[in-house]
Amino acid sequence: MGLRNNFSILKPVVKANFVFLRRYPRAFIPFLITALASSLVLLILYLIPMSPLNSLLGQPVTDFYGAQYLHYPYNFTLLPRLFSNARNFLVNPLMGSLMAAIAVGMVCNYHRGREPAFFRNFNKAMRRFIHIAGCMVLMVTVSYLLSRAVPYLVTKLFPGISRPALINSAVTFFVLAGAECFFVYTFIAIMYKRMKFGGALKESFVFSGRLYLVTFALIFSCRLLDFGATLIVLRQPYLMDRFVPDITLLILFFGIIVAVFSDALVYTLAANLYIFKEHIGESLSNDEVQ
Amino acid sequence: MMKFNKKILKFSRVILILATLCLSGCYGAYEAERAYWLVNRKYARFIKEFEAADEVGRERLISNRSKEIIVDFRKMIISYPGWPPSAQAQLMIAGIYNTRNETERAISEYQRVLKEYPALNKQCASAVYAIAVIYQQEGSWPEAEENFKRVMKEYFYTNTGLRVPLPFSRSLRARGRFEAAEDVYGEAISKYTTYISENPDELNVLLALEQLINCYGDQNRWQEAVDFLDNKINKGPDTPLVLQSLAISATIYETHLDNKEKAYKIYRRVVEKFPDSPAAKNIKERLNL
Repeated sequence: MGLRNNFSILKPVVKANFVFLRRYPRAFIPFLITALASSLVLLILYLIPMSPLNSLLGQPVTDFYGAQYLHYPYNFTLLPRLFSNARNFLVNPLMGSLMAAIAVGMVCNYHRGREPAFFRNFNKAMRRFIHIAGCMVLMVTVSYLLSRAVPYLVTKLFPGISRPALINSAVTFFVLAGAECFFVYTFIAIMYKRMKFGGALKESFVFSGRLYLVTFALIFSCRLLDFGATLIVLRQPYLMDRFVPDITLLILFFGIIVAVFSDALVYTLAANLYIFKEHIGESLSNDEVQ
Repeated sequence: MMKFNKKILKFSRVILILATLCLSGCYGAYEAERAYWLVNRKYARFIKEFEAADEVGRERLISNRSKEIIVDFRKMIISYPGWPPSAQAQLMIAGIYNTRNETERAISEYQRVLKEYPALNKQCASAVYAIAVIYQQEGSWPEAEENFKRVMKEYFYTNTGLRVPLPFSRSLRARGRFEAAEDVYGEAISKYTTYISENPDELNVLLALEQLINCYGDQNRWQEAVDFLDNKINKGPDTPLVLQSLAISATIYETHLDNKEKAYKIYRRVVEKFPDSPAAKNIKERLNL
């Protein structure tokens, strides 16, 4: 199938996705639960310098980062980094992966003509939790390594570029969107085709290899929302100085809210694309081309 | 289902109690820090404007904005009594009165620090030192001397206390009281040497070393200074204190004792023992090592 034919599938997929989300706004519930968990983690991290949490978590922060980060306003300079790590290595593997799988399961139900039910998919996802969490851990680890390596390489290859933070963020965003394409179909392979960890990874790599540009276009456009939030985080020092350091909490919370929409769009669109391509796609896309 | 609902109800009660605890001020120290920082930022911006303004502008700033800042600091003290940031706020209030040339009021505000926060040595030392400086500027020497002595006696091992002997003895010398000045130098040197020998890992030890060398230098006792450094510090393990001590020893040998050979020998030792330190880099550049 040519490039034009590949992209022609986008229109019905996007349309079907919006019809699904409009008809079943409950598909946002899993992502809202993830957002709630992220908010709770953010609240806990914010409360670290205060009693009673400082007696429990104060010492690790002192050992890893320094005692000044337990004091106002320095705690707010550390908060984005702490929150990003907690979200990547705690919330996403434990909660985010499960919830994304539930949402993908709801899309599968929709296409099979069944009512997209949260609890039924929750039970189904829980039974395959090891595979789902394993895929998420791998995805998060790859993303983390890339987010470290890309700025390093950019700085090495282009020393003396103007606005390095912005350029680094933009290039990292581009590379991460590219890498996410290879993993985004793992949940649908697990929930829809009942595959295990290795099989799901293989299926996701093969499928995204076949439709790489289309998948990239979908992920890139959805993740632009996240990039907007990242740009605001980059302005955090200025905003802290202009207003109050506590504004960091608001910025991070805004990022959580944005992630609800971007994650929902990425996973439901990917699931719709996969199902379209697997079963209905061929005939539909041919119709579209004609 | 009923059991599940009851569990959720219990869980939400626990969350509610925790949230109430958090919002009811059980994190006072942090909140005090926050309140102090916010008012202090206002004060820093006021000082920036004050320094940029002309005479008329300064008077207007002092009469209008300083009152507002004092009120903010007072509100902070009332909200968080007893916390260290409140003592700091009290010091700031006194400082503002001093800027407004209301010295009597400034002194009474500084004395409130001593009265209300006697356990906070750092803030108390700053208050007593500030009082001494005000009296010194007004020419009230007996009161100034009394307060300088008080810092040395009661708060010597604070950051402010370690800095006091030099200005105190220099002011005594300036007034021709050489014997009294020598006594202050003697007392300070004895305290510095004991402090350095007993607390080599303390953060303030580098400051104490710097002040000790200045005391020896004021009295032109350079040989005694290097003897102390050579015998008591330079032979120790590789610590920041030893690095600073070696660098000071070499400088004294080079500039005051005219013994360049010995100085270069010590410089080489610094480069060997602390090759990555900024001091070693400077020495390498200067001596082409």
